[in-house]
Formats: sequence, structure tokens, C-alpha cells
Amino acid sequence: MTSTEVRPTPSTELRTRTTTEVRPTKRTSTAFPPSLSAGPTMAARSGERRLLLQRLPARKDGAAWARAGNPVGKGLPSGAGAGRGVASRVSSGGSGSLSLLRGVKGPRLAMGIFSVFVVNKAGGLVYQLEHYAPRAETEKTFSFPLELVLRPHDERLLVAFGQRDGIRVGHAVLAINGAEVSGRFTADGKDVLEYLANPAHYPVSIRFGRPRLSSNEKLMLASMFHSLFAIGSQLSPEPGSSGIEMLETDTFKLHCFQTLTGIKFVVLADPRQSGIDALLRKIYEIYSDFALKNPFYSLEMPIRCELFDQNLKLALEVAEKAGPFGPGL
Amino acid sequence: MSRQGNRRPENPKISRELFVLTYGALVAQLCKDYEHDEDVNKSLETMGHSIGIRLVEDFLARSAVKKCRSYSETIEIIAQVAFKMYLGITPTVTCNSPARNEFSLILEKNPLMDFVEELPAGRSSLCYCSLLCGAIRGALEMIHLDAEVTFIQDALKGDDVTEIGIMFLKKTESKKHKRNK
Repeated sequence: MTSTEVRPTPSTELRTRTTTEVRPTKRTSTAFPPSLSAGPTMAARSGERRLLLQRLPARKDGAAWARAGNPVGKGLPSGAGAGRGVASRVSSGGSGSLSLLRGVKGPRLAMGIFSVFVVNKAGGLVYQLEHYAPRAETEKTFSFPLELVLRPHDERLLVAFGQRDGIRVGHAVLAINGAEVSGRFTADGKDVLEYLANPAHYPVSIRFGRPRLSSNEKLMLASMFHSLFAIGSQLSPEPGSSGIEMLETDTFKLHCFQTLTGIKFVVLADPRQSGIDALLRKIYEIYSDFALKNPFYSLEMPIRCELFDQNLKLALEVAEKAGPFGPGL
Repeated sequence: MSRQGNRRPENPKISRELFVLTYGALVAQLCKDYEHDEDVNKSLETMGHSIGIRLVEDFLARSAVKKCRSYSETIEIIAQVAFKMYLGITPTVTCNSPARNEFSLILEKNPLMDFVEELPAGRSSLCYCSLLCGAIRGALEMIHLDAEVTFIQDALKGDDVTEIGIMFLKKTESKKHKRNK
């Protein structure tokens, strides 16, 4: 299974949360103090890099949380950025760790919403938008022998070992000597591994980076999530639960909203981004307006409506800048 | 017309007369196209169905109603929220037979038929508001509730009020979660 979206780090835990219809915990992220949602203060600070202070709930055994301070600023939301350490959190591992990011107090940054997916009733991907994809790419010149260990995986060559400089495990070979590789073959059609095994071709400049998902892979991931969503509701100890509403990892949070008609809206965002619940409702409204009211759009089919795209991008930008939607907007 | 940011005007008013006239023109044209009343009724119902399947998402997005736990709750929501939102009227709900899941919506006044006195001669079995029936049926189908929606009384045919009967058929579940032993 390709898992290139969640980077394997020592502290990755895939945490899922299913909630029952009656939500016992109040999400504080939507009840933001008014002073923090003001536009001007956000804009003034969006360019700065500073430590993000978070107040974490007290641990049950009284010990303090250990947390690596992360300098954050625009453009560094995911772990792919060179030099940014992934937050390592010493956590109790039990249910206490689930609500870690709930109590975010302090100034919020304009962090990113990565992508939006719309999945229809049958699990097929109907719409997909990559709003912000942090792609760190490094190009380096190597001499024989190559210290990195490359391994083919799913039609790509991934770095399996030998992490150095900006090149991390999981990155794929993107280009050789400036020419983009297609899968495991160079632009001329030669097998990349054979090419790199021949000392005559060195020194060679190779570009590595996080591989982009192809549209087939996105389709597959969407239907996989659709199945997991259904399984989530069965796994839940509470009867009558909804499916997966949020999936939290170190580098992103996946929020899902299923309508009563079975359509799922999935938003992947930075873990610190708030107001995603309101954004999901807003996306539902935009869908019901610009996709459904378009007489030439057939239900359950891929959405190819220009107005839908435009309004969705607008809504994402508003959500990133100003945070939660007010009741009147 | 460009929408300013994400501020959507709350229900920009369009003249009701225009809507009623449009509906009337639609029915008149269908009568010209089809000889038999059943064909006209069926066309209207199908059109209503395709309206209903899209309208339901708009309704759910704007009204934020929670999942209904019983048929009577569903009917109440349809009568009090949906009809109010889209047609501006609130029909009364009566329960014909809870055991067999039959309900009625009684419309005292129907904006669609404000300007219609009676059916023309030769069109005595035309159900003027079949579109409404189709819309309700389509909307219920999208939330996985199969129903049969028919006219029990029709003001145009001499009755006092218009009565729409909704009979729920077996509930279709989208998720097959009956595997828990």
C-alpha cells in the first residue's frame, strides 16, 4: 500500500476519532476568542517565523509535556521541508493524547489547507483540489558509488536508506541530469537503476523530492478512505456512530464530513488550522449551489464546473486567513 | 454576476408571479405535447423527481437539520422547514396509519395554483401539482427513504384542500452493517 502521504517518523501515530451523533466534547477550535479572529493582526504576523506556543492539557501523571520547539512560518507546514524537525511529543499514549491540539491558545498563523476531496456515495472520487502542496525538492550531484539506497516501489524509485542533506527516506527520483524520469525509466527509456550502476555515467545530478500522487492513486485512496469510513462506524464502541470524522497525524489532519445523502467532503489541512468544521459546511453549500444547480451536471459524476472551482478556492482562502466562518458570512 | 467573496445574499427575491407563470407555462406546454393526462402527470412527476434529488442537498446544506429518527420526524421537517423554506407555506401533517407508515400533508393554499380556477374540459385527471409529488419523492430517495407520494385530494378537482399522501416503503440502508453477531 502506498503511504507516501504520511511520512514514517519515529513519532508517527495514526490517530482516528469517531464520534457518536451526540458529540460529548466541545471542540474549542470553533469557539475562538473574537480578538484572535480579527483580520489585520493575522496579516501583520503572517510573514514572521516564531515559536508556536501551545498550552497542552495537564498529563495524568503530573509530568510536563516534552515538545521540540518548532520555528514555524508560512511555507513549512509539512515535514517535507528541509531542516524542520518533526514535532516529537512525549505522550502518554492513551486517550489523553487525542486532544492534544484541542487547546491551542495564542495567535494563530495562516497555515495551509492542503487539499479537498469530494467522494460520492459509491466511494468514487468526484472532485479533487490540491490547494497547497509543499514540495521540497533537492538536486545534488553525485559521484560513483551512490551512497543512497534506491528501491523500486509502485512504478517509482524511492530512497530506502542513506538519508542525507535534504534527501529523506521516501523521496522519489524526479529527474536525472535535468531530464525528468518517467517512473523507473529515464527520459531516453533506459532503466534508472542500470543507468546509476554504470560508473561511466557519473558524475550525475539527481533531483529528489516527495512524489506527487497521480490521479489514479488519488482515486484509489478515495475509495480506500470510503471503506475505512464505513469500517470506522462499525468499530466504534458506541452504537450508532458516524464514520471517521477526523484523522490526525503529526503533519496533517484529515477532516471528513458526510452528508445525510452519503456524499463525503474530505479536507486535509495543517494540524493547527482551525475552523475546518465550518469550512466543510461551507463546501457543502458551495456544492449544492454550483454543482447541483448546474443542470448539465449529472449526480455522482466528476464535477467539472468552473464556478464550483472558483468559489471553492475563494472559500479556502478565506478559511486560511480569517479562520472560522462567522454565522452571518 | 459575480459573487462578492463568500457573502451569499440570503434568498434573493424573485417574483413569485414569475415562478407561478413559469410553472403554468410548463404544464400548458406539456398538455399540448401529450394527449393523455397520465403522460402529462408522469412527465411532471419525473421532472419533479430530478428537482427533488438536487433540492434535498440544498435544503440540508442550508437548514442543518439533524438526521431524523422516525418517519413522523421526517414528515414534520418536510412540512415545517422545507415547505416553509421553498414555497412559503406550512402544510398540516396528519397521520393516516402509523403502522403502515402513511402520512398526509394538507395544503390549505397552494401558491402554484393561485391563478388556476379549474381544470380545462377533457383534462379531468390531470394532477396539476405532480411536480411537488415528484420532488418529495426524489428528496426522500436521496436520504434513503423510499416513499410513494400521491394526491389524495386535489383542490382543482373540487375538493376543499389539496392533500398529498406519503407512504413510506421499506427503508433502504446504504451501509450494510448488519454483520454484528
